[in-house]
Amino acid sequence: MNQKEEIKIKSKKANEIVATCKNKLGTIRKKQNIVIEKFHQEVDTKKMENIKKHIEDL
Amino acid sequence: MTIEQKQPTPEQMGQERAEQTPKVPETAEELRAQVEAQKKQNQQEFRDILKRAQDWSAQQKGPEVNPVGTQVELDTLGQEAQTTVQEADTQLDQLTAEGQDTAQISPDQKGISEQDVREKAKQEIVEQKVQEMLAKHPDSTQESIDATRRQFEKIFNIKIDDNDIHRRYIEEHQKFASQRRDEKSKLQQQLEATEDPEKRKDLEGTIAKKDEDIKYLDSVVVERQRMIDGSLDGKTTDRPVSTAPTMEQGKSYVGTKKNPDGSVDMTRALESKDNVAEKSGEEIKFESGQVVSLKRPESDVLESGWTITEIQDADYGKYVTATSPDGKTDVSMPASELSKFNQITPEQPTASKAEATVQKGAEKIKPGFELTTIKLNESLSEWSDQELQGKLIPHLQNMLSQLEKGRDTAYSQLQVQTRIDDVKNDLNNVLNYIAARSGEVSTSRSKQPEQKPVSKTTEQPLVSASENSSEAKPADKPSGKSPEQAQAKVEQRSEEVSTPSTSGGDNAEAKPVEAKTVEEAKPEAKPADEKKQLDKKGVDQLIRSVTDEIHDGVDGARKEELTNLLTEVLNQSNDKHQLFNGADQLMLMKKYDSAIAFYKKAEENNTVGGLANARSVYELSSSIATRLAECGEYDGARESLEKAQKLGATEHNPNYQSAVKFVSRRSSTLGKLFRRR
Repeated sequence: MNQKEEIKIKSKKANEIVATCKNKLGTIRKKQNIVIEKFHQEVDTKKMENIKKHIEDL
Repeated sequence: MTIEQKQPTPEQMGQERAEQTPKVPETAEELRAQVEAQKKQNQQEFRDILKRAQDWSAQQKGPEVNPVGTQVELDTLGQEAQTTVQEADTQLDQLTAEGQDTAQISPDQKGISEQDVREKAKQEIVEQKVQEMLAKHPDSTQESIDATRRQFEKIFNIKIDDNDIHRRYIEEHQKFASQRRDEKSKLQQQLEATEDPEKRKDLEGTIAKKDEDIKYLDSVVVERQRMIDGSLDGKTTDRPVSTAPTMEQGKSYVGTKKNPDGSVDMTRALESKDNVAEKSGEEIKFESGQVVSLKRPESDVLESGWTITEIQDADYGKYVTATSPDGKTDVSMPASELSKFNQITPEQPTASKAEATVQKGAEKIKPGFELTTIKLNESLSEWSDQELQGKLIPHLQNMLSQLEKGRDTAYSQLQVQTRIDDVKNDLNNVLNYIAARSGEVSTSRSKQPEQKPVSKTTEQPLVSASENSSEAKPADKPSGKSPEQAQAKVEQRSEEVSTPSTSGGDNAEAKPVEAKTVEEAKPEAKPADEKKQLDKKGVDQLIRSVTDEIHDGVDGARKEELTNLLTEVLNQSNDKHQLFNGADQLMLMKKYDSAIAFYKKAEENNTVGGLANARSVYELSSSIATRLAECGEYDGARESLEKAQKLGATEHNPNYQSAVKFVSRRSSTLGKLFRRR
């Protein structure tokens, strides 16, 4: 195998490593979105509960 | 370290992506470039993830929902992202490293130079520091990352442990040896399959050459290992017996070393004796005890600081034996060969040489004047203003410039630095004297130079390193400024002299450590001003300011001031990150004892609980272990690594793995301990 071919194979391998890494990071980003979204939902729910409680108190 | 809060615009990002349109690499260099670009992309994505978590963290003020659970989840995701990127980086590095080996080791190469090994080690350490910085400041721009990398390169230029270099040198040469063995084995297979006598003869010759290379490479490994063993045991290695002259007649050697068993290694014939004679020209006379520069056969770099220990007359010329700076290695070579190197590159300035030059110059400009022992009260009064400004000051500036040029390459940098400080001090005193004599300052201040004996530790050095390097001009081209300009400069200094000085370090404005014009010396927020704000934000800000200032370059009094300030603040802090970051700054200022103390304090405060999960704790412990090892505090490094292990760190964690690798390089005992586990 000559050097040029070897480099071509390595380049392909590098692209695969990067693609795997990107996929993993993409998944992490999605999880992050879910965590933050979940938090905001909890905050909203809590706020709504407070408002309801406030109205009931009135 | 300047961290800019900038994010690339969508257009810029689009452009970056367009620029990185995949092109299939054809050379090892192109492959490395491709991989580097890919690593940067990964890093950017990782930073985006961290930035998002940090933004969320900064926004959470409302008490409606307990944010701790979310914070922990985000931290875990952040760490997962970091691990993912580091794993990818490691794999990519391995890929290019393999490519490099095959591309770099040519069949004729006999090893790599120590300079290259050092450079590689430096790059590795710098990269590790940059990665740590990125983890702390994920929103750094590429520009600030590059600037930081350059700063680290500067800092770590001379800070690599010798044993670390020996180990890397061994690793590199083992790689070469292994490749030569593979080549030899293939050649032997070919030989077995060949019947053609001509071909067989060629192959046998090549195999013999491979054998010779392997023998040489193995001997280099043995030699280096012996050096490591000697230094680890606290003993010097068996000093090889000098047996000059040992070379065969008709051959010329650039350096030989006799082992106690009689074998000669690190020896390479560069060229025939005739060629050397032709090239070397006139022979320089050498004396025993003289310090010279040498070049190893496998290296293109001159090593200074070798001392001539023996000169012998051989049948075909003089032979010189020199001892290495660490006293462990002797080399012998023809004097003509030594002349060649020492003619081309004269020895770098040493303190005594510089001093001699200064004295010579001083004698020239005013006979009988002893610059190294300037006694301002007696001597300077004998000089006219014209002589002081036109001769003495340019001469001192020239000296500074020469010394600073030679500082980085001189054998004893400390010695040269001391001399630089002395000359700076002399220059300050002369400028103060002129300012006082010119009557530009108040009567009481005009007496200042007389009242103040010349001391090597002036508290107010008015000449900064940067100013010296930019303004220093050769003596025969006096300063390039008109006498009026020079006078204006003196007047400006006289105003600085008249600035009220205080003995405390709190008033940064009143203590102009770095020379500035009156306009430049406007009040600015110095870390000292912020000392009182000991809340977390204040301390963080202070550490950042100190970091920036160190990266801009500090010396002398300012360094001490920053050290005291940081120490005072860190003594009162229990925040592990603050302690760690502050200790980093102390280490950069070479205050190793203080740095060790605060790394240890950071470790004490590095416990599981609150927002800190086991993983974040062992990540920090791993970093602390690296730092402690770097400071030579191996017990502390061991304790930190043990703690990391107990908390679940394994070889699969890149930070822990790199800490073990680093510590192993520094201490073989620890290396064995943790690698075995």
